[in-house]
Amino acid sequence: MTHTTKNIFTVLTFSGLLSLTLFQTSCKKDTIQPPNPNEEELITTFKITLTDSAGVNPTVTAMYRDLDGDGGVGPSIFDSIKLKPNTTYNASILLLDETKTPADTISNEVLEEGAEHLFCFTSPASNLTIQRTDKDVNNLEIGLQSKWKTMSSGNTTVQIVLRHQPDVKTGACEPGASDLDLMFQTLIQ
Amino acid sequence: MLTAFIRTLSFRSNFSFNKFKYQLGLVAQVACLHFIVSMTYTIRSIIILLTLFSLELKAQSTSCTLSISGKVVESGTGTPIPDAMVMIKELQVGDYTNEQGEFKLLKVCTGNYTLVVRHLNHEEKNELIAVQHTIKSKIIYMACHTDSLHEIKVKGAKLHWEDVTVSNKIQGNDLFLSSGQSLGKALEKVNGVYSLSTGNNINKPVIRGMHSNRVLIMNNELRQEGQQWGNEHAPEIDQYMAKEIEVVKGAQTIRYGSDIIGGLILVNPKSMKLIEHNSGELNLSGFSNGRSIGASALLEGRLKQWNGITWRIQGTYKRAGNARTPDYFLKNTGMKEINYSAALGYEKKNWDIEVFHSYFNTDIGIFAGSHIGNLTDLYKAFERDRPLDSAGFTYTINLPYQHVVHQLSKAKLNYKLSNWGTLHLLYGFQKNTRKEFDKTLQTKQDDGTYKPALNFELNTHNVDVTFEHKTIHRFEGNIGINGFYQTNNYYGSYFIPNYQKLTGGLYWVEKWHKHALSIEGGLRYDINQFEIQKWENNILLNVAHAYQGLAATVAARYQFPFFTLHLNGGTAWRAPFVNELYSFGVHHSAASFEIGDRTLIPERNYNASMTIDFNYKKKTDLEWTFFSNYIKNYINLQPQLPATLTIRGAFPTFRYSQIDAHFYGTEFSSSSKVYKSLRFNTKANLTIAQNLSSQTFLVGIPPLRIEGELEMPLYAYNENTIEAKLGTSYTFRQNRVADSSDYVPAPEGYVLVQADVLANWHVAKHPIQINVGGTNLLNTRYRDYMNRNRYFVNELGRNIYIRLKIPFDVGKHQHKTIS
Repeated sequence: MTHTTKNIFTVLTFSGLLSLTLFQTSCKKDTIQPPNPNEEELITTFKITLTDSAGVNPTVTAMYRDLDGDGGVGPSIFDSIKLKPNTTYNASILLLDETKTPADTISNEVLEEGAEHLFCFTSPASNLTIQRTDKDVNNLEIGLQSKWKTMSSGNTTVQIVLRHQPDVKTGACEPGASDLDLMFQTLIQ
Repeated sequence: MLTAFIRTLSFRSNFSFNKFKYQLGLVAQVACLHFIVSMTYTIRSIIILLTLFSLELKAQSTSCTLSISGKVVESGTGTPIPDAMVMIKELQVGDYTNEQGEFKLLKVCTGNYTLVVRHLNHEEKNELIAVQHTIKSKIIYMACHTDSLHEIKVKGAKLHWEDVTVSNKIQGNDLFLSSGQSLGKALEKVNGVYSLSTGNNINKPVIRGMHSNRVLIMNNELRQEGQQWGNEHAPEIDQYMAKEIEVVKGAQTIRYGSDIIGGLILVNPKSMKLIEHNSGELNLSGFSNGRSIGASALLEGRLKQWNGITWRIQGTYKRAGNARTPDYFLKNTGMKEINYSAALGYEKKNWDIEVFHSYFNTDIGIFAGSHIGNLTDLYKAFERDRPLDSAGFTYTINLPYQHVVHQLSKAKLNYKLSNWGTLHLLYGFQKNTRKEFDKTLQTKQDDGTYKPALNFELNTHNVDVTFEHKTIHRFEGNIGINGFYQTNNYYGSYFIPNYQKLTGGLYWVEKWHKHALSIEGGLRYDINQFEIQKWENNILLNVAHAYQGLAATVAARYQFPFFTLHLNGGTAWRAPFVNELYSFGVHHSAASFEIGDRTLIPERNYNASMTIDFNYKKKTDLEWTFFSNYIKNYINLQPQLPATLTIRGAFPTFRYSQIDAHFYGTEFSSSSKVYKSLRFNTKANLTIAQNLSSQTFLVGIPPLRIEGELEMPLYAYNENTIEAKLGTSYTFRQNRVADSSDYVPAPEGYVLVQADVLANWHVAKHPIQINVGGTNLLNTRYRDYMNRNRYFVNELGRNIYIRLKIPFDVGKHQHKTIS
């Protein structure tokens, strides 16, 4: 063999071998099925139930429901809270993940981790007061249970925020990050 | 100057008519010299001088018949130097050396003359010569330039032509002075490079306003592949492993890919072939802020029994605790890093082979206050003087944190084909696993531990075949193919889909060099195809994408007597990446809802730049660059109405969309001797990025920064030296941002002061390097526009550090120098 043919031979052999390696790796289709996001935990539904402590007025419920989670189709239900004036309600919050069957009750986990969570209620109204009534292991309020006291008639808003406060819970709303943040139209009439 | 040149040219050809043919050749060759003349004297005196010269030449040509011939070689190596100008000063006759370094000066009379030898990368040489009779085989030795600000390229045993492309290198002292930091921080030493930070440990290089998918990092000759798309995903590279770091700004080169829109960073360890004997190196560093320590050891050698076999092992340990701003500690900002690498080389006469493996493992704490629920949280965090999450000092890393492991394996074969050139074969494999842990309801498992919120595994295979042909008629070049296969799998929450990507590229680069002119051109064709899998409404989607395109570059360099002019232009393209096509979800560190667009098409850039590199008698060295980068279909994350309403509140919506963008700006740096050996160095750079589609400015572009530094030797005796540097920088406020494009206004400008003392010392004839210094010496409170934590906290306060480098020999060899 002359030098030139030997060289051509070497180039071809190496290139051939390498392209073969590449070809093999590329054709080996090691596709792994990604995890279905529906198997993840989501808060799809917020439900607040307000019961008249005197047992006179009917029980009120209000819901927010967004089954496909963040983005995509907007919330399918976003109720207003309709209350009677001059009434004291015992409110209870339920959080669900309805993408699971049966639906997963997330509020149980919030209760379990009460020392890391706090519900904050904010309303500009003067005719409505809201007080948390439940406590965590450190004797700080959680807010899954609360007392709503209405006075005169009038329309307002109530912002309900669930603060996630790992290691930083002091009873104040400030620390941590929001796991939930909803603004409800509230009608007292 | 050009007119002066033309005038000189025409003038010369007028006079020495009988020598016209010879002169014409000489005129072009001695053009450089005429520049010096034209710059030093007035036109009038040139005319007088030239008249004299020409008359003199005329006189000589009739009576002189002697000649001088010989060779110009490099002192030390003896390598011939082509294209050196050899000239008899008194006679103004000259010649350029050929490729073998040979020259011949004809028609010389007897007498005593000064022989002047000039070459781009070497010290000018003046030699007195007495000519009595014809001189044959005169050997002239030239020494390399040593004082250049822009270090000269030495490519193995090849002659060190400076590259046609413009690049900046961090090596030697500069590299030592940035050790112990992240790669992104170290790169900030290069003018025009910023770091996009998330806290103090995550730094991504930003070149001329671009980063992530638009900046390619070559780690030991392989494309670094580790979820580069993420703003908070720093390059997984052990900076201690690098012997040099090179930055090529803009789209100047196509050899490594067609997608280098912003720039290229090459991180290179020392070549295995340069290992001479058993030796080692120990690097230590300690920083006061975060009480961070770094230790790195390297051992290398050549086997005596098998002389061709070289080996190297290297390991690094880094640890840092909570960092501190001037007023408070930053909770959960520690980090831990353990890296190692091993390499083996074997060389024979015609071929050599190298195998390499590296392992990078890091845990990085994410500042606890930066995980926010929604936009309201962000505003509240911004309004606070100091974060609510306060802490003291600790090395413990808690949630949230990132755990990243990057492994890289490489095998390389170089084969010399006699008479043809060299064939390079390269195979690389990289495995990147990234886990991001968050403390949320969603990630808490039944046993109380947390599963990673994000969990990716990225596997990449690279194959590279390059044929480097031998120099033919002054053409040097490479032809090559790159193949790339990558799979991404995720196990945590959805952020980007699973994908399998296959790309192939074919390129050809040629370089031509003659005398003071170098030209380089390259052409590249790439195919990029991938398939993604993602869930949508409980259905597993499988979508295929394919893109293809051409890229081209052309560059020229011309060496004038006092300055070098670099011009380059080119076009490159980048296929949209899966995050731009398929992102969908809340970005908690940015309080935004990001939506990809699967109909995006590749972006294409047209890029041009000009650099003037001025060097005057070792006293002043100056580099000035202007660049322009027009990008058609630039993929941009743009705000969109309405905000996305989620159960966690409202998030501003951002959608990936395509615009036409124009990036342009300038970079300036200088170094001059101001008094005796005192040097004054300056740097300044400005990038402006316009959204041409909406006539606004792009967000996230680094602001103008100017830097000044005094450098002075304090002590020099025998081989021991001490030098000091005192520097200050002013970073302006980024004013070119639309109010609606960011949640909070850009932070104010700030001034920082830093100082360094560097000692090169010999202890029992062993060289060691010691550096003591500090950054933010005035403990300034400031926030940086390019740090994503600027919404929440101030930047770090004063940081005092010490660095130590101890090279050592194993066995009987004598001391070596630090390089």
